Amino acid sequence: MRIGQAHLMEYVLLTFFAVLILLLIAFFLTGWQITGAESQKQELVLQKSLFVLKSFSNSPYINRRGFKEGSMFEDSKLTVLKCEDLQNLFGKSWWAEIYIPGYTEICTEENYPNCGYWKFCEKESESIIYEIPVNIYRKVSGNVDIGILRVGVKI
Amino acid sequence: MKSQTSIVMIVIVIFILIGLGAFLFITSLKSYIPNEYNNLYAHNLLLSILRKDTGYQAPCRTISDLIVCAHTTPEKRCGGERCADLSNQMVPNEINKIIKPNFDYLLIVEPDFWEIYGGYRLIYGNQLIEKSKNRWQANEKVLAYETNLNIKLIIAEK
Repeated sequence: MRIGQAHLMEYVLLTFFAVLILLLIAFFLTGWQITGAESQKQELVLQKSLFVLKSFSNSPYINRRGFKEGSMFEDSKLTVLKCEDLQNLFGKSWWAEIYIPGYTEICTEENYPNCGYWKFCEKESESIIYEIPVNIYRKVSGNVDIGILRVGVKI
Repeated sequence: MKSQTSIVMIVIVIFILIGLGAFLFITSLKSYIPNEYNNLYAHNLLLSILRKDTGYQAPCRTISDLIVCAHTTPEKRCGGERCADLSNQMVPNEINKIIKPNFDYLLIVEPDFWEIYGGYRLIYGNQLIEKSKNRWQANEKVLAYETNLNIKLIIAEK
């Protein structure tokens, strides 16, 4: 009787361990899938951010004529452009701001050219943000300043 | 005895699985350094700095002109100051104003084929980052009288 019970216990333990292994494998595979999906999503958002950054840098709608390397934004063009115009070019779910350090007043047709801050599309709180230095050509004075182009892509 | 051996085997298999899982999990958490972005950042930083107006007239109209002047004719004057002095003051100041706080920089201005012929070099920034493992570099060539100048900007995380 005791030997029979001992055998039974051994089988119970064996089954328990086998189930444990299966559960571990299931958990591991699920975790693996989730991690993979997360990193893929992050990479896609990064790619989109870079795409928007590069599109801004090279867009003839924003750049001063004659600068093939791009990143020479003309302040008058920035002032008249609207979010919708740029969304038609670069797609949706992004926002951008361009500013010359020290300026906080958003440029409008009323305060131009005494301003140095441009905003395009509504800023999303949950977004991945990248920024690069750019040049701002001041059309009225003919000076070239340094600004920051900051692009956010919704996560 | 046979069952005991099986249990020991199963325990060993569990440990192997846990070890394998931990290894794969850790390797999947590798830090994702966006190299493409940092290269773009370095390139744009250099380009923007070089194109910026200094507020002075020729031969120091832009930072690029000022660097050329400081390298080739350092004694020439712009707005009453020597090109070399103005460059030493203005270039680091402009870069520090704009660079992200987590980056350090090194700007090197040298003549073409400096590695072979040598020559005078202008160096701004932290020289320690030249050998840094995680660094990104941008290069521009400026056409100057008698010699072309290579301008290298290296950025690295602090």
